[in-house]
Amino acid sequence: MSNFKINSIMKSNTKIKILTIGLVLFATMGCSDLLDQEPMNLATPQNYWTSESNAVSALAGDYALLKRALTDQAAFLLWGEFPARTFMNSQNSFINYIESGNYVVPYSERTMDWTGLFKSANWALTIETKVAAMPDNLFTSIDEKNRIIGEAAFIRSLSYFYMARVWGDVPIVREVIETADQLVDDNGYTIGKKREDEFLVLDYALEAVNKSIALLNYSSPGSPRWAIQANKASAEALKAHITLWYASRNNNNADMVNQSIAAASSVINNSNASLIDYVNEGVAGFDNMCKGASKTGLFEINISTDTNESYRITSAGGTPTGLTLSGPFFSTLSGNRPLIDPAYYGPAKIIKADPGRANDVRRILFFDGYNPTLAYTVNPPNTAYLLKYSQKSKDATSIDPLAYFSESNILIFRLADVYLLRAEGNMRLGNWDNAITDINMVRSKAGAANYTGAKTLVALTKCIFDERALEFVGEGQSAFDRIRLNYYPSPEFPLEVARQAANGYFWPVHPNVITADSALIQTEWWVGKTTT
Amino acid sequence: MNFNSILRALAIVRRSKFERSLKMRITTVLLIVATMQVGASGLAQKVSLKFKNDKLLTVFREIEKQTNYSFVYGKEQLAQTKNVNLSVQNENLETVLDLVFKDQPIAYIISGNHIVLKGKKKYQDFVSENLNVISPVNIIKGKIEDEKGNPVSGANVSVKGSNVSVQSDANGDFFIEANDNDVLIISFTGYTTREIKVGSQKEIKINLKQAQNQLDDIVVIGYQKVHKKEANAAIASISSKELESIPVISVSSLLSSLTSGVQVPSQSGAPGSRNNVVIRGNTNVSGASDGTGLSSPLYVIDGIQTSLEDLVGFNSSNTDFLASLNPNDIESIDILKDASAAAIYGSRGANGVIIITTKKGGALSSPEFNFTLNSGFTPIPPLVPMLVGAAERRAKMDMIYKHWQSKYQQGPEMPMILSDSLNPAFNNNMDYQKLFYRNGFSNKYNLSMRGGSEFSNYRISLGYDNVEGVVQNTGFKRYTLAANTNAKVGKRFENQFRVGLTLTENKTGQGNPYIYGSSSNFDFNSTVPTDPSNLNSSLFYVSEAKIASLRGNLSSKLNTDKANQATFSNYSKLDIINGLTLNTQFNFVYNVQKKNYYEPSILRDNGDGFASYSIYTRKNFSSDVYVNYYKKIKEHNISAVFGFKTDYNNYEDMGVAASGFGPDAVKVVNDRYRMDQIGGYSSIESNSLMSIFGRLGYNYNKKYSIDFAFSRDGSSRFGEDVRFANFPSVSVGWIFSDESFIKNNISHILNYGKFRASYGVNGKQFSENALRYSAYSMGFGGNVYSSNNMNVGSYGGVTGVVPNYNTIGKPNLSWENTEQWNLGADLAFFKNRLNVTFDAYNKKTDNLLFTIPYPAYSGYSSGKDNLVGVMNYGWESMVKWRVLPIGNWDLELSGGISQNKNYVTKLPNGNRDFYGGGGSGTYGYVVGLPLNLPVMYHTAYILDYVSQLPVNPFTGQVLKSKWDSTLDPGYPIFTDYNGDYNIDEAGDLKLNTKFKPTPDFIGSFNINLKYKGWYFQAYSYFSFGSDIINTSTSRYMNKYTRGGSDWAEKGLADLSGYTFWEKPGDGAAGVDYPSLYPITTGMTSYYNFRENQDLWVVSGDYWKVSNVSIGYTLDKGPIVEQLHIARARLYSSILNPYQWQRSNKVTDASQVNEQGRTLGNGYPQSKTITLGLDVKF
Repeated sequence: MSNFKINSIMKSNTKIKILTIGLVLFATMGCSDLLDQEPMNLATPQNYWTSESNAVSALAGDYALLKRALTDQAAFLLWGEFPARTFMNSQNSFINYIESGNYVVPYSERTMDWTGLFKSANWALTIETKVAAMPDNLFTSIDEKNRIIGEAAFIRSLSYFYMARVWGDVPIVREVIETADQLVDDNGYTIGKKREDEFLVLDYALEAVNKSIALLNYSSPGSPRWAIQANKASAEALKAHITLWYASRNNNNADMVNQSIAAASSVINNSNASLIDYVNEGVAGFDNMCKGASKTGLFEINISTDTNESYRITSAGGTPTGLTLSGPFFSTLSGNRPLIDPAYYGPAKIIKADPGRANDVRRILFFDGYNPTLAYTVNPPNTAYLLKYSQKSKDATSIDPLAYFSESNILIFRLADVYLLRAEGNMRLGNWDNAITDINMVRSKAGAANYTGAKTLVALTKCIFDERALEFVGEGQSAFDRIRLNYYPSPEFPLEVARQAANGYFWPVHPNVITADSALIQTEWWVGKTTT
Repeated sequence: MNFNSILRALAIVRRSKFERSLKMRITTVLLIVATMQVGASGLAQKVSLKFKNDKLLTVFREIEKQTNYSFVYGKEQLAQTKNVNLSVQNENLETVLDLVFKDQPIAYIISGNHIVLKGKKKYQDFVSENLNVISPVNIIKGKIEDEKGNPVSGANVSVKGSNVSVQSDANGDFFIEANDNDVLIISFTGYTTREIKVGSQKEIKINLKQAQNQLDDIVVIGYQKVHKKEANAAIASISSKELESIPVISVSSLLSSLTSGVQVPSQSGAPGSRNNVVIRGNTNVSGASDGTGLSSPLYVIDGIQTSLEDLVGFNSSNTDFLASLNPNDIESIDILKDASAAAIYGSRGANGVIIITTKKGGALSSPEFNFTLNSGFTPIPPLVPMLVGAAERRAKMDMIYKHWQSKYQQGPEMPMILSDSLNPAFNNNMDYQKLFYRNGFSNKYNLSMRGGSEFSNYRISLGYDNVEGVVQNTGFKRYTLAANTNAKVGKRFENQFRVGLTLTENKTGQGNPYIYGSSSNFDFNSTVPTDPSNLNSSLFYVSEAKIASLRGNLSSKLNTDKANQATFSNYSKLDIINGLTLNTQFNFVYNVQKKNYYEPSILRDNGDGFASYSIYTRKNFSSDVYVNYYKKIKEHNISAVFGFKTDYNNYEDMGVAASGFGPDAVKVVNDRYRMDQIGGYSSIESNSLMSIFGRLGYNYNKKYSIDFAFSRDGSSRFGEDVRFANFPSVSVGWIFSDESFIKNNISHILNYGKFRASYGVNGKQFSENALRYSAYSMGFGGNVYSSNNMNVGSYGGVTGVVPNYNTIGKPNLSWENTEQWNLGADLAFFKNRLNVTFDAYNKKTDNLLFTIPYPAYSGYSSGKDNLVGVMNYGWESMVKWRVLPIGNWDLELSGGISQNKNYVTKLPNGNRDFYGGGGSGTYGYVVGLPLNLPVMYHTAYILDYVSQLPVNPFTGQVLKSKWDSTLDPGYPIFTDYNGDYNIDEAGDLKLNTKFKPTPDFIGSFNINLKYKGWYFQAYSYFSFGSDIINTSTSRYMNKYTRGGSDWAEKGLADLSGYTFWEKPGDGAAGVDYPSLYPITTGMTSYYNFRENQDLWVVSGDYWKVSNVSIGYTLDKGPIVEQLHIARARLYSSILNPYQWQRSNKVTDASQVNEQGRTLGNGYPQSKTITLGLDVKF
């Protein structure tokens, strides 16, 4: 302060001095926006939703969440493949737990944890809500905006559908969770959510997929995002699945079956996808399908080095490659490798017992080690293994000659699936011929003879299950198919009546999940069986 | 002109108006002039004058008419004056007077309602010249000096029983009017008040002695200084006297000794390493055990407030906060322990406030230089004795022969390092400890100068410290500059400007301080290579490069950790009207921390090099604007503070690291690396705080007092709806010793007694700046599998963005607040020779931020919320006893003792017990029990005979364990709490509720002895009644039971001091430990030495002497005069000379973390012997 100022203050009268103090105080007090320190390091719900590209990135993140939920500890195979015990008799000592009916799998306990699927579902709901609230003029077109919302709705629907198939009853999150206030109440109690009836869960998934169908457009092979992101046909395929599952759980609910058939038909008619002709396209056709985004794909999880979205092929137990591949693909026989056991249900009952499969090329295409000449047998000493995750490319940054990246997409829905769903729907309605037409369509592409069995529910159920089990081996469908078709032939599948009554085919909920949520109770069958 | 004539003139001119005696009046004028204590009221009165060549006297008359001022002058003075020409309209009186006296040979001065004329001659000379002739008035001239003969300026001199009082000037001189039988009272804070009978003397020399009575001390309570006597709060004070001959880097290490109720736990003996200061019990529930899991106070250094929450991320080298301050510059430390004083610091005062005032310039007749020099030597501390070479091999082979079946002795399980004694790789006798330790030398230099007048003075201090740690390549270097200038402009304005610069260089040995991202702290302790449980076997061959690297000083290894801090601060004070002052303080603090690190290829497994650089800057702007008001109306004293504060922090942070192949000569991140080998980050964050604060104090006759303090704070860290909070407090005091029933009866025993009581609410902020926001993570690709160098961050080629599911925002996250009661008493007995302070308190902390797991449906894992409550209550007492003020001897003993109980009052989910630390938990919280209980098995006994084991009556099966189904003799047997005849985690691993994490009492005991120029000082502190966990020994022995050959490849300590189970009966006889049975591949192991068993709980009792020093002060005599110095002091001190502890199993019972675990990492608080010289000239 200069002398001048001081003197002037001193010379002024008291009132002025007090005024001055007041002014100094209030001048400093006036800047209450000093407290608005916006974070510069963070993207927050408040500052993020400002452009189309941000919305697109959020959507990509949601697919990534779904990818993570399905691939963490190879959950999609543990849920969807191994419990069915069709082709692969795992030698992994922990996967054996599943095959013996115990889903508390050491070192893969996260398969009991549904958090991952809630992440993808919740983020989808957030995207749907936030993008809908963004002004239309932020988007290149209204179609683009609808696409983002529609795809998010698809992910939400698929996430819940997975949960409904794995756990049955699960909590339903109907609101966007953005603050801790939604999770902890004022008294310091976490706000629990109880498991809701599986039909409410399926309704919720169905509602989301209908929204998705309404907002999305059809696409065609070769278009950007084909198969690795949802289009209208992907959503219809999902709808066909959900409604058929619903019908199966709900006394063959005819309305649901009809919806399923309609959705499947729409896919077949409008998707622009086509079946792979295994006979004529051979290995190339199979490889294309496995690499993904092929003409037959409807929805897949992208695994590709082109976009730096791959992983190193290993024999580790928690990966699709480790759980399906073996030597000579790896330098040695993998301890985790599955046996394609000739006595197992698939080799014995699907392939060997069906003379119509004498020329079925899928056993050669899909597996390494199925003896091509000696029909129905595998090479000694049982070194056959599944090839669906064998697409690879070299890791250029490694000096290890066996360092490969995976190029195999994880196939969720493809056209053959939809044909067989429609066949199943028609079977459920007693339209045997329509069902057989679709079955034969799929069989014909593989060189298998047309179905000649009885036109009965029992016979066709086995036919459809077997056809799906072979066609989708390693794609995580069989275990769900068994539940949906209620197909547990004896003597291979003596699943106790008690277990079925207590929903024993559903998975246990991780104890930590139950501990953190006071409203949850364990799946009936698993009560007292999950202490880790 | 002489004095008598003035008096005469006065008598003539003003007699009619004066009511009191003439002598009195003129004296008052003199005194006022002499001390510049001039009131300012009424100067704003307006006058209108018109004079043309009129006499000065006429002007005076007119002014007297228009105002209530009257003139005081001598006739002679008027004789020499000129006539006046003047025309003013409604002008300020002062302006007019300036005009009137502009060309006159005389000047004027205003005193109350009087305008006094004086010569333009220097006034002091005038008074001195005239002193002898003032016979009618009895004017006494005095000079006040301290014990060392330095003038004491600003001392108060008053005549007993009158209103007359003056202050001494810069030279210690004063003039006062008094009669022969009057008594003068001379008082100055920090000095003993003296009463002197005037008698016949006209010139008095008065020596003031420094007060031994702490009640006279001035304490700083936040925007105000008060006498300790007048404070109703619980305050502990430390003066520079108590610190000056202890050559510590940071004063925090002395706080335990010099106060009560303050704990300073330390985890490392490294120079300058972080100490925590915990006042009245821990309230931190973070579960962290790296030194951040303790609650820390607010530091206020010369008005600049810093909480450690502001520095999180910055202080990543574990450097002590107070190490940025040179102890030589500290004038006083006041620790506000209760809520009443701290309430004015509102949102940051919950864990107490430490106010540090640094030394200032002063009015001196000539500049004063002070030079201190300090050289120290730290010998290698006693180390864990390690067996080296053949001794190690022999001891390990003995274990094998004793415990192993021959199939193992001859099998491949035999560790190669032991069996292959001829292999040069395994046939060495490398003494690792020799590599790591050295004798440390330290040097400290400090030069300060101060000088100037009462109106403008300065102090400049320069410091250099270089302390070598006893572990190789560790140490601390510091350069400090502290300067301040003080100016008084006019009569009403004071200004003080301060600059502080600190540069520190911390040597961290071999540790890599680089942190990718700024959130976590670099844990120095974990990188010390000396942990006895982690030393390699002496048998291994070690290359020279490896040795050098282990020492941390390999020439090609770069490791620097530097921190620079600059502080600028300006404080101004303006007297507005009587008793009302306006104060402003503006501060700017700039911190930079830089770390450079390079690890050369020869030391890295991949054969590549690793370089990193990180820089962290913090800018802090803060301002305080406040008014102070004092008013005394008869017996009513009112004081008030009201003000406004803003505080803004800006953090900019960046780091870059790279690894790749290339020449080791390049130690930085540059084109040596490809783009994809370089990673980095940058970050910008900010936070701000606003506060309106006030304090209102009232006392009646200084006997009954009540104080209210209040702060309303807003913080940017909190959501808009909960951003502001109020922090009120009230305190009352009663000086009962002033009551007549005490005064008249026992005042010869009890000189002083005061009861105090206070209640208040304080807050605490958390360190995260943006915790209330939910955040999205960028570059999420959803890959869970190994992908080598491929960084998966997209889906379908589009960068993925997802919520950060590890944290969720909470818009109404808010203050952690503490409610505190305090009841206290201050007592002084026997002419103030015995001072006792006692306080009891109850401190309830609520809304502590706590991590709570979220339900899975949310997708979020866990988050922080204001959920937990903790209560601390206890008492503390400090006693100072001046035992021996006899002749040349002066002995003072002081001691403090305090007891704090701590327990959890609230936990989330309806007080569900909390287990933290991952897995089955390592620590836990339970409502009703203290914080940080360990999760443990109870070691019931060491098994002697299998027949001792209980048998399951239903199955006939004897007790078994999860790990080894047959329990063998020599095993520690854990209590089977759940009675399932199986020892396992599920039912038997429990919170150890008997564990005592907090001591029964802590305290200090200090001795100060003086004899003539000699002094002797010894400080110590102690802690009794807590339990600690011998983690270091457990980790060490645990290696033997974990299979493999790790045990053989690590060093072996000499275990002859411990007893192990060897044969049946040993368990009953009470050996220390179970059998030491090396386990190798193929053997099942029960893990005898697992850490989580109460076998390791030992007593945490210790008594530590923190400092002993002896010195001699020379302040007179031929030497001093010949060298032209004012004073010289020579001293020697020993830091940490001695420690007693109850447990002989842990290395240092005082070095534990917040969970009571001893690290024993080989960095002890070592003994340092120093010689110091302190010269003033």
